[in-house]
Amino acid sequence: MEYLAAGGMTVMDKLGILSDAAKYDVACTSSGVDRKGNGRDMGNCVAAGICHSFSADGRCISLLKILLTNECIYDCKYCLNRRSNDIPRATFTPEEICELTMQFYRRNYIEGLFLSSGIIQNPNYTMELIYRTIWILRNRCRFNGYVHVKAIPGADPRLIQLTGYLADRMSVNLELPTAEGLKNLAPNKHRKTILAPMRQIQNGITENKNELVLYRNAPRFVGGGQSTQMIIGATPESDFQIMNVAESLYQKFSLKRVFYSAFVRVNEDKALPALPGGPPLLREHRLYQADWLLRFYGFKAEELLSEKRPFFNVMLDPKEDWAVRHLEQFPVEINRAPYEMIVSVPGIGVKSAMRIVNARRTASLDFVSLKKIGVVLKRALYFITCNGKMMYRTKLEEDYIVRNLTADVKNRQQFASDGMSYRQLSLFDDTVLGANPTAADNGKVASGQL
Amino acid sequence: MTEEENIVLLCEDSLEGIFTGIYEAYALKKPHDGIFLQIMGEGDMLLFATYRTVAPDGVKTEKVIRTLRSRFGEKDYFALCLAASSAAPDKAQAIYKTVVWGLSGKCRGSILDHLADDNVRRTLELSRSAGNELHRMQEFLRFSELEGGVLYAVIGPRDNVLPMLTVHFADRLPMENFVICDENRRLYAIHPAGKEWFLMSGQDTPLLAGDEGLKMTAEEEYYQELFRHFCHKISIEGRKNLKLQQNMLPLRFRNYMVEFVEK
Repeated sequence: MEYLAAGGMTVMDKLGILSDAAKYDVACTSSGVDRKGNGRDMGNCVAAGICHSFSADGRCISLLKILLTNECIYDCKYCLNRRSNDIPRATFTPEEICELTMQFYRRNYIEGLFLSSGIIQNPNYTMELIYRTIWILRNRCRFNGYVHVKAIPGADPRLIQLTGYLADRMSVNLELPTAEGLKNLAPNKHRKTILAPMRQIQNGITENKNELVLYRNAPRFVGGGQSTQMIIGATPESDFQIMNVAESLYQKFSLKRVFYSAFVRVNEDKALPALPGGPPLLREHRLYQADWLLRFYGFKAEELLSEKRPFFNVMLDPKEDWAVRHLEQFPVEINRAPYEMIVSVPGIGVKSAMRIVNARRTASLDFVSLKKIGVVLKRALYFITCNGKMMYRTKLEEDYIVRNLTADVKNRQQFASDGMSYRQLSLFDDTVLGANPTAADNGKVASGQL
Repeated sequence: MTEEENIVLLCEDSLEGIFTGIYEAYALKKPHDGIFLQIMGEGDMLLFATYRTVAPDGVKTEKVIRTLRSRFGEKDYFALCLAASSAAPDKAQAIYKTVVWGLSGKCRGSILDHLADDNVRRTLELSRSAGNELHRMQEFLRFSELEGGVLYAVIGPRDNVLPMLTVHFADRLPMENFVICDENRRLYAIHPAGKEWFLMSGQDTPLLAGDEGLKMTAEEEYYQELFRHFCHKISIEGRKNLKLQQNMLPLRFRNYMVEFVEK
């Protein structure tokens, strides 16, 4: 069966090209909105989000993640769709996108639509096309599922506002953590034009919340909140800088999520760093771990890193790293300590901390019940006491704990199996790492002696 | 041996069966220590015990449900239902003892917070694992369009989550005719467009979409192919990680998913 679209290109071809072009966007979540079906139109939303499949790189497929077009007037050096690349170009019509979304959604392939776009003609024209697509999807197809759209920097605020009333989540890509990096790699984009729509959406959400208090049925503006993403490893920023940027985005722009995307070298360009070990996946992983510490554990960026220690530890996760450098706060007494202290223990997450606090009201907890509750005692045992006793005789010493925490280092190096370590990512690093570090070196790295 | 002999109540493997069992256990008016609940045909036999079979009873189940709802609240009641849908053989005993504990008067707040108690913890474990199975079914179920426009899906869940699953899809696709079939239990959930859904049990081995008698529409194959193409294209070669993929999406689900079935 042939479905020929305009220009002799089948929908299949277009879907191939435009999903291929969209795959480097990472913000593919469907969470944050709880909306029951209305009994007539297709679709509802679940706050936890639903991932419908997982692709060969292990990332979830939750939304139909496509570009409206991969034509682009910009020439950002890191981007596959830049003007100067000779690649097949395609553009969906709004109707094609709606048809695909509805048919995929009906079969439970996807949770909704994620629509981004290259800049065709100018930002306003592009944003208008996006708006028209979402409008048709919501009003003509009566789609009630999740919609995530990109706000195009430089587009008319009025267009962004109209789109916001139809979308569940909007995002503006920060692209690179610093204005300087942006200037070098994305000469057509400016920090100001990126932050302006971000601020606008933030204000829109706040105003809308006030309206909703007064009028329960007022239309919702970006109910699932705003997110952004930045590319990690294309420019020489340190983890400390990145965490500071993320923190201020959470605080000043009240973002729901900041996504980090390990830089994948898709273009040959002298301004881009060479990545002999592949994309910096371990670094991305550490940043996400730290991001969770910021959002759910009450940590601050300057607690985790500092000017002197601008990068995360390869061997220890950020929480372990923090804990071994703040041993004066440990051990924590499980049966009495406040929630904030319990949740700062490595091996105890938000859920187990909540369970501990609830369960200890009626019974005194010992290590056996902690294990059953879901605490990872392998990591936690160095930092906790139950009724004044530690699990084993352990020393409260940085070296000792680090040695034990990194004992099963083979498992922890899953990201570094190809010899990649986070040090190699920095452009201006003067240390040259030769052979893989030995076990002794690992210990030194972990305790900060190398 | 205690003076009184232990009593084991054998109940059917269903919500109704377990709740009737709990009702009967209370109706015995004996100390709860000497009463055990077992799913028929599961678990080890006790030597010094009398066995009684409990037939599921709608009225008694209603009474138990009413009590649980009013005493424990909707959230904990739903958690107990999830636990009852689990495939674990010891679920009846764990739920029964949790209910006894919750109604004993010693319990403040949500029963499922009292994790120091082994039965409560086990119930929460079962409930959570069945909840995960339910969530995965919401994720990985795939509908195919049959000729005539009916959506049809076959699933093979570990736990009996079909009723909860159908609630989700009935809310999501109110104007669709769809059928979900649990291959392992030969249960069918049938949802006529715009009407209440219902469950049916069948005898024969369920058919897969595309088998003889269940012809798919021509469009269906086209959309399946489109989705396969999409899944293939969306993956980044430089980040390939099949192990992670398998952690997130275990192989046992893939037989039912269009993007993993070889064509």
